[in-house]
Amino acid sequence: MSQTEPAPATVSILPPLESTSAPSPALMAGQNLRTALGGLLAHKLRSALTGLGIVVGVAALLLVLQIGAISQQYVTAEYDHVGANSVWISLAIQPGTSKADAVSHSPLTAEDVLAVQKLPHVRVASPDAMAPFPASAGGRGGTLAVDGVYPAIQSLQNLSVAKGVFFTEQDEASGAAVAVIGSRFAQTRFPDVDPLGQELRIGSVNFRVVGVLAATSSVPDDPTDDSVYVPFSTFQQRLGRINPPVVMVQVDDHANVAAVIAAINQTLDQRHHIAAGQPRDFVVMDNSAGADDNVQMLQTMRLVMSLIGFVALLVGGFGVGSTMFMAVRQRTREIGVRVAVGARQSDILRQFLTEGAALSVIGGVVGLIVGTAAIFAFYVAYRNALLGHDFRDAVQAHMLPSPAILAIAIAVPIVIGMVFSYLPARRAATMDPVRALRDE
Amino acid sequence: MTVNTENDPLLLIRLQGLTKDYAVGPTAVHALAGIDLEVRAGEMVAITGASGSGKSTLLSLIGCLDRPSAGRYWLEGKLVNSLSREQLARIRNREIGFVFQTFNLLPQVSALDNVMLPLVYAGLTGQRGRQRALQALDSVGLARRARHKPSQLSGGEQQRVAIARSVVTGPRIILADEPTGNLDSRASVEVMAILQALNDQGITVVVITHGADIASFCSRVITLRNGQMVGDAASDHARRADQVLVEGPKRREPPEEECDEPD
Repeated sequence: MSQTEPAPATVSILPPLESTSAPSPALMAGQNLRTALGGLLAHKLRSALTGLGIVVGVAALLLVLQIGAISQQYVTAEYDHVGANSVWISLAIQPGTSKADAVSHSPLTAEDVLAVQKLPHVRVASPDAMAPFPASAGGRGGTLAVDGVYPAIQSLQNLSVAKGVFFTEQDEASGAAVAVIGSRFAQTRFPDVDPLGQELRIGSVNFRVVGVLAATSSVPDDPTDDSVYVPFSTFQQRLGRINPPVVMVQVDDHANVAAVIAAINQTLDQRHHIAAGQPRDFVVMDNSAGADDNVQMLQTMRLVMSLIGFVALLVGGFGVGSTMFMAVRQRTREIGVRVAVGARQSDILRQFLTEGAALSVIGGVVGLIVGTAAIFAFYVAYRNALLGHDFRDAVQAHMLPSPAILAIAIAVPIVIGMVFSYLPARRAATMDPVRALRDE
Repeated sequence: MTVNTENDPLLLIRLQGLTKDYAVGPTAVHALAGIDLEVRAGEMVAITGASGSGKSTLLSLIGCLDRPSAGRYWLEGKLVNSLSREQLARIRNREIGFVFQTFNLLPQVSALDNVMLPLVYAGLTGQRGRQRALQALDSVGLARRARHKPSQLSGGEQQRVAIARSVVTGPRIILADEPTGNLDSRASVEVMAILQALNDQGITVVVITHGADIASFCSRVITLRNGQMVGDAASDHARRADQVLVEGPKRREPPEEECDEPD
């Protein structure tokens, strides 16, 4: 402390203030913000710890919202790959009958597929018969899931060949013993040799590998990468399996899906001699229903996760509330002084509401940064891992929160901060100033 | 005294049968039991009395920090009893300046910001507010301490900052509750010198004090006992604090019985 300043010899007084009206709300708000920040800075550790609750809450909320957005984009993209234009025909299993009965009594035949193929708006149709077989390849045995399909499956399932060729219509017509294998299957069974031309024994038939598919890379464990595709006719005739359990149909345009479904129903009713009113022995489904179901499920999941995020924020809000109670308790005297120099109840109330909201908003902004950093770190760490490009694209697209998510992540903590500091602020505002001034 | 309250512009404070009860458990304690008092503009009044005599309660009522249980209070001819909270807040802001024993400065902000505090609630901030607050600080000789925090100031300086705060809105009345209670003798006299100087300029000053020494700087001394006025003495020979500062105190003991710890 420096030398005490001497008291003045004379004192001049200030004229009374001109009769200005009460301070404008904007001016008071600015003043309150200054006071709030000062109050928070005066107790850095306490403010930081309380803010941490909000940081965690907002980060959690942000992550939940972002994960929701990412998975929605991802699932939508996945369905786009399978094609929103796809229609499936599968066997209907009547109550009381076994699957085997259903298969033997009401077959979906190659002729059925042909009939469907001829319907208007149908681009391609292919049976997809999958069954396990004892197999050996590259000197190793085991059980293998084999798909009997038409070459058309390529466009139906978005398959592309990385090496060699896909088997042809001619292979299909002649029942050739050729196979196209998935990328991972090729890697695990033929690690050291070029799989093309290698032999693959399925059941008692030796197949020649003519093509290797490109990695689908859309889902980490996509079964396509492990599959073995053989011509449907070969599958039926030489492996001894008949009747495709599923027929996949590609419609030329999404708008025609309903019409094609109706046409398939009509054609197959005729072919299977099903009179009106009788139960069908087949079911026609389209992809969009599945996509809708999935999107709906995702939305439910998002809702539940958002609730969890809100609960996390709520917990942060309790922290703000108790800190504000502490602040009011600690600053009782200050409140008394402010009232003594002319603060109205509403001024005191707003001051502490502002402080609570400021604490929350600062926590919220830090939470946004933390949450965004977490997504960014996740992206950087895993972008080269086994994630599919759809997933990577989805994460990349949502690296920064969208304006809507940003608005939620800022508005919610403001509201929470105000709500939870209301009671402490009210206590401050209604305090008896005489007692407040004597507070020890 | 019988003065026409409505028409006497110099009659600043008029109390009639002013009573304040506090409920302590089932019984009521009379902190003030019917005070009749008139203070004219420009007076310098000391209110003395033992602890619990009701002097602080009286000051809170005059300062519009509290409302009486019974009785009436006119301030500048306005009946205070009927005013709203907002109006009372405005009176505290514009008409009255408070000075406390413990200074009651906000510890986290500068002297200047402390002095600006009443201006904030008057809607005067920014450069004009700062200017006015600086003037007020200058008038108590502390313009050079404007940026200092209270903890960087001596007790006497802190109380002078508090006085600057009390006058910054240009009030007519200063209410000082034991303003020298935490100060050493020299600082006490300095503070009284400033209060006297303000009084010289026409500001009405009401000082609560235990000490006869401090009361002797006032031209009127009111004595309370058990919530009642038991003395009201005017004196034409109030000591001048500025003279005491020049001559030095005649006695070496502290000016107040309560304050025997030197700072």
